[in-house]
Amino acid sequence: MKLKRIISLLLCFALCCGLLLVTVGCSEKRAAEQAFTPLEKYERLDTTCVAENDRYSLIWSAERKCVVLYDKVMDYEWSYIPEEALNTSYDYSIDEEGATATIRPQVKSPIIVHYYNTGNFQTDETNAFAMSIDKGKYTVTPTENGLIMTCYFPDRELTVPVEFTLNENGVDVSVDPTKIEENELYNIYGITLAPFFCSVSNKDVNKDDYYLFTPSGSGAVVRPTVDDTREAAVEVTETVYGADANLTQFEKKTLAETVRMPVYGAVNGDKGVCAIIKDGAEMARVVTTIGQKFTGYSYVSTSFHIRGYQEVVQNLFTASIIKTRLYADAFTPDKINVGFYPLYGEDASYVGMAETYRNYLTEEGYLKAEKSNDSLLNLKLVGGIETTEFHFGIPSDAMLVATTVKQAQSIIKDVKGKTGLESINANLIGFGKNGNDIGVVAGGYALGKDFGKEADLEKLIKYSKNNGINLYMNFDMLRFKSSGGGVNTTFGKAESATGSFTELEYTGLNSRQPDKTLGKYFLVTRTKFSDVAANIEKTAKDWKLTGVSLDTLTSISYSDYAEKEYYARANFDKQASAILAQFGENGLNVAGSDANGYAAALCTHVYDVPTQSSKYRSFTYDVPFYQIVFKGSVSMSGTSINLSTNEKVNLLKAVESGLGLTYTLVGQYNTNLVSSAQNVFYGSVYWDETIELGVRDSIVETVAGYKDYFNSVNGAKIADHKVITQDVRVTTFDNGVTVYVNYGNRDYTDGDITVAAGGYTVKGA
Amino acid sequence: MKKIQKLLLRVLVCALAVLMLVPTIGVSAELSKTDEMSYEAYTYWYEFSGHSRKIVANKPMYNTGKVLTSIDLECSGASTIEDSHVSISGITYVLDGGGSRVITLDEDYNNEVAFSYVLDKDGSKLYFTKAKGIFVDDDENIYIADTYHGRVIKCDTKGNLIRLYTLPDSHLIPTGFNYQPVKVAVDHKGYVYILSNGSYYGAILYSPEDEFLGFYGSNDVPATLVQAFTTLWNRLFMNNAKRSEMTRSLPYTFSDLWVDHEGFVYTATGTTNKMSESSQLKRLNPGGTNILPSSGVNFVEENVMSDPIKKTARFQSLIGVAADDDGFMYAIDAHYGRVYVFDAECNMITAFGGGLKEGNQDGTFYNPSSISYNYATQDVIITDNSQDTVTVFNITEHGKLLKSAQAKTIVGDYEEAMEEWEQVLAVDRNCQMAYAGLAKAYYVMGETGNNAEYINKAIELSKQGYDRETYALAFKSVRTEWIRQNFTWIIILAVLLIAAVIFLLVYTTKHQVRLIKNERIHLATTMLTHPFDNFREIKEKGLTSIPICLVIIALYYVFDVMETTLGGFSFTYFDPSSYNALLILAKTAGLVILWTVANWGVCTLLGGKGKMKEIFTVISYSLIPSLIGSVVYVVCTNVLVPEEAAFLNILTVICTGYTLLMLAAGSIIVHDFSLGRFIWTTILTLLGCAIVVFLLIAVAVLLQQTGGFIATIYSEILKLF
Repeated sequence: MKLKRIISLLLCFALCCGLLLVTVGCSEKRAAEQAFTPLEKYERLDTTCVAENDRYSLIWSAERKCVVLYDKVMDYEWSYIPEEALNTSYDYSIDEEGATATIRPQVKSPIIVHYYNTGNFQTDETNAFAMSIDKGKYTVTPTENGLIMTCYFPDRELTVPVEFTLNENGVDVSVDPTKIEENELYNIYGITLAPFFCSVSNKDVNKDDYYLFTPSGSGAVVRPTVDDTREAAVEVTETVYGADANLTQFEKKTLAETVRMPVYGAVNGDKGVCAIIKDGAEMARVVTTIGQKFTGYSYVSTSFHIRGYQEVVQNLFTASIIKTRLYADAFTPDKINVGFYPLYGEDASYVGMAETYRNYLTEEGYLKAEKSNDSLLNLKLVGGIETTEFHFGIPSDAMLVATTVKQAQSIIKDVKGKTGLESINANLIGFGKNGNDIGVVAGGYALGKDFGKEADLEKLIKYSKNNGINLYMNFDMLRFKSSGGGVNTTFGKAESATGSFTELEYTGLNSRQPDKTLGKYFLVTRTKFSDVAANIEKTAKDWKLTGVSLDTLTSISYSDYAEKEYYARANFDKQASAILAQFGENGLNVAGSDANGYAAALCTHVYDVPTQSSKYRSFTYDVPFYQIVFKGSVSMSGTSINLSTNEKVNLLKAVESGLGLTYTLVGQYNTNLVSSAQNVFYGSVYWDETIELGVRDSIVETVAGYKDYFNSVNGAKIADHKVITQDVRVTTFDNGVTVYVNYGNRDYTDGDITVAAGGYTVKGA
Repeated sequence: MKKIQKLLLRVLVCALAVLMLVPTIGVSAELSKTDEMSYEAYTYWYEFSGHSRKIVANKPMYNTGKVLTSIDLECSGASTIEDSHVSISGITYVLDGGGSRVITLDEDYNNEVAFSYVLDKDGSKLYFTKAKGIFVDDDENIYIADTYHGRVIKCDTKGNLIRLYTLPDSHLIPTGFNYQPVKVAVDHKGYVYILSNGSYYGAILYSPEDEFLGFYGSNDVPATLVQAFTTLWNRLFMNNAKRSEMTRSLPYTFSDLWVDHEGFVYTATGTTNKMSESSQLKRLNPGGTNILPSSGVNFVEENVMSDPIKKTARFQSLIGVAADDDGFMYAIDAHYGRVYVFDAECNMITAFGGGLKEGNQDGTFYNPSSISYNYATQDVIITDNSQDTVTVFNITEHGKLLKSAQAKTIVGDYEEAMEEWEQVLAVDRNCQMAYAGLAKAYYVMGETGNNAEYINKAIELSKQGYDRETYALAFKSVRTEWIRQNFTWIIILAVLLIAAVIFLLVYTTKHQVRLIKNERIHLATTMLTHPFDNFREIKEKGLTSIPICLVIIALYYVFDVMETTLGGFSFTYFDPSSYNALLILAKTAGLVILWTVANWGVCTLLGGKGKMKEIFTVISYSLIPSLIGSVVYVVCTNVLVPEEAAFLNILTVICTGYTLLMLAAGSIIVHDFSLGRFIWTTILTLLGCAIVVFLLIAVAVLLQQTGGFIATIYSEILKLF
């Protein structure tokens, strides 16, 4: 009897296992969002003004089949169709006869839809003008302050409604993914909004005042060029806020700056357009297309990946290996929205665009109106890294200490004494349980025992408070390797689009591929953010810290497919902003590093601000757009002077936009640190008594030479910026101070202004 | 109670095993944002811990300067930027092979003039479409390797023809030789070196009088034993017709050549499909012999990468070489797009650039086609024939210092280089050469000035820089000095020690005193001197002792670890990152247990009389010579330098031999075997060991798969609920 029972239990267990196995990999059936419903009749408005304010009218032009923004003051029509093409119709007959049509349908399209075949994962794109509007397969319905143009793509059984809304200074173009219709064979993964709104004709090459602005790194100006050596246009695609950290990266061939601000634009002589991605920036990729012969335009646009994905490598039966994108089961719930703002005269420049974006951030409540108190000297003190010790061959974790808390205090004290500065920012990085390595989330909210006692930290905090030091302690609240601090390795990990928990690896220094020897780590599930933030805040309060540094939260963003609201990185900016704002409201200063636009606006100080673009060869020159936006509102400093390739150039970049100086320092060096994959230790020893060398003297000397100029522009906004030659730039601050910076190796003279090679000249200080 | 103890013991053992297996070191945090380049600059540390080469981030020596695009160079649709060369006057000559143009750039690399044909004296125009190489001699004469037309054009800077180098009419030229010049170089004496596409004979050499002299230099075909045997076989047993159908091993062709101001010719060899290659770069003397000290050097990138998707290897392809007057070599790799800088001793001092065939940012490449060096500015110039660009890498102040210091160190001006090395270290503590250079300088100063402080500093610095050679010299110096100072004490102590030993021996023998009363311990301690008697006694009297055996095995493990971790600096190559204590345990204790079990199993079947306990004892006691060898090794490596320690290898061999001898003797005695039977059972025991290992691996794989299955089920349950 007993045996019978055991056998039946075993059978039941086996059956359960079998059922589970059958369901492996199909835990949730994918389905199209909303089924495509074809219309019998496509209803549209006649030509009419659908919305109006003091300056602009939003008009539906039935004849031209497009939306026009009419500027009543300037008597000028703006549209997502470039000026030249707006009143020219597309002639199919010319195209079919083999001759090149003057105007291509893409140019007249309000959107381009990117889709994939769910059967074979092949991707393709279709433009709304050729496949929907010109075929009459669209409807136009008015809304409260604009209209909705719904484009039907019967060939692919897709429907995308595009909304145009008049705002005070321009027009918003948006798509609500929840209203997209699609069938099961073709699924949409991306949408490009108004691709030619920010465009420059290829005819306008070599003209100084015809260019595109792309937000790569600090920002870059791109003049239209037509390269006779190649047929295809040069296209540069950069993801806003960097690549999704939750995506597997098979290879990072090069290093690139990150797009930190969701803003771009184009300037056509005395007219320009500034585009601000208002919603869905986390899904956006800024695409800069230069010298496209096919359309005759160079343009910058945004493509939104509204459906997340994960890339996997598949071994096919044919023995070939391919990389495939597996898409998420649903769209992001977030709306995608780009605001287009016309600019005129002197404002039609990248400086005008920066001002527009700054105003937008202020209106949205991100940027405070008050003047910033900029910090000249900003130290990053690095604690140490983990290593392994052996006791009779048995390994144990140990810490390779580069700076103890006591050393940190003595460095700060010494720097302050020697530079004579009243206030200094000091950021303690890698002083947690795992040093500067990824271990327990947020360093276990504790001071690593090898760095000193909590009493030492208390002393340092007390010293900082009494001596004008803005002390920050860095917490990595996004990445972890081992359980602890309220996040465990079983349930605390973010999920990828394929439903698996994400495990990430670091890129090898020379291999540029994931290096298994450096170990794996995980991303904290976004549902845990508020808990981790609360713990950090509690720790800071317990230690009586006045500031925390959140390097990763301010610079990294990722999706988490555990919740639909976090698909395709949706709402990351809102989550991060809420945490930063909460810290600020609770009296904590927050430092960021290389911070995204939304985060920078809420930080007390931003380290490592981008001072250049990704240096794509098609970019004409870099501009300090990031600095123009935030200078005067947020205290900022550039990358570490002492770790840069060319310290002089790095300093000149700081001069150009009145940035503070950053130095990365350690108290001691041990050659075993070379085994670390981190690149901060080689040039950061503050002062080595044994060889009597270090960064100390360089800090003192540089600060002494920079102090007067920095004080003259402290808290000032950048009013104007000009690139006189490739090497010489001039920045004018709103307090009247003007600085000429010469990066070249020859002196520059213009009238009474002489700027020495590799130097700068200040006027009006 | 006993059960609890057992359980605790098991838990402890498991925990220890896990500890040994998994060093729980944290994951390295992401590299900090420190710089303004599109690539990582790095260098190698040689012989760091257990690594022959360790990749280390370093302060960049070069930064990306001017980048001239196809638009800057006014390229047309047909253009292909193939090569460049900087003349002695600082003018850069760029060859647009596709467009048949020579573009000149001024000292600031601004586009100046171009000519698109060479004018012959009779007024005819010579176009050089599809030309691949350009060179400018000290008299500003331009040499164009006009590949497609099978000639080298020599002209002046205005494009007026001086002479043509066509295929020489000589018996030295093989029949059917396809003359397609791709690179050309001229030395200060006027000798012209021409590389022809696909030619494995070396460079075609012309005298200053334009006389063809023959072929110069060539790569060798390394002969392996198998190849030699195959060749012999073919010669002996194949007829001519069959032999002609066989594939032949031909030397790799040179991809580039460069002539320095001393007249030495540097050559680069492209893809060799090898992970390790010591002759990809060569410095040839006038006789065509490689004089680079590259024996044992590997020019190939550490961790040759594979395509992450296709998993195919990406072999390095050095397609260009340049050199400066200090012997620094600059090589460009076509696959990775990286520039590697080597010093005259073939140490890689830095690597920069990149792109992996998709580099469209400044400083990265799609298809780099040549490298050139500007003697005046120390700039390195790279052309890319896919993107039609010219990229100038400017040397930084740090780079200048490092190169200068290393050049001085190589020629032995250690003290001259000291200040520069200190400046280098101030900004880059990851510079191994700086430690080594300073160590050498302090050693020389210490030796010449008889200054112990300097010698100690040399020891410290050479240890930091893993410069074992200088360490050994400095250590020897310190040791000699110490012995000199303490010679009297050493002699007295030695005499006393010897006297004490003699006294002890005489006393114990005379008075029949037995220092160790316990018979089992006594047997163990005298096992080395009387192995046969002692094993016999163990067998006959049953004097086996498991605790003693366990102590010996524990010591065996500990001494093995000590040998790896506590040997002298000059002898130890310990790498904590790859050290696995569990593996050492398996290698020591595991091996003993494995042998015991396998030997018992085999011998029981074949009539052996030994019990498992006895076999275990024999193996354990046989390890005593190895233990002694390990202790001697650890002690000796801490007091000797490598040149004095040749006997250590002999000692190791003797100890291992003695261990095997004792094992044989013990096994014969405990099993009561003849020698023949012993050999036979030993072979079977080895086979038994292999079977046990195989079974263990099979069980481990099974367990792993079961674990994977359970994990899948678990994750599916999580997904469902």
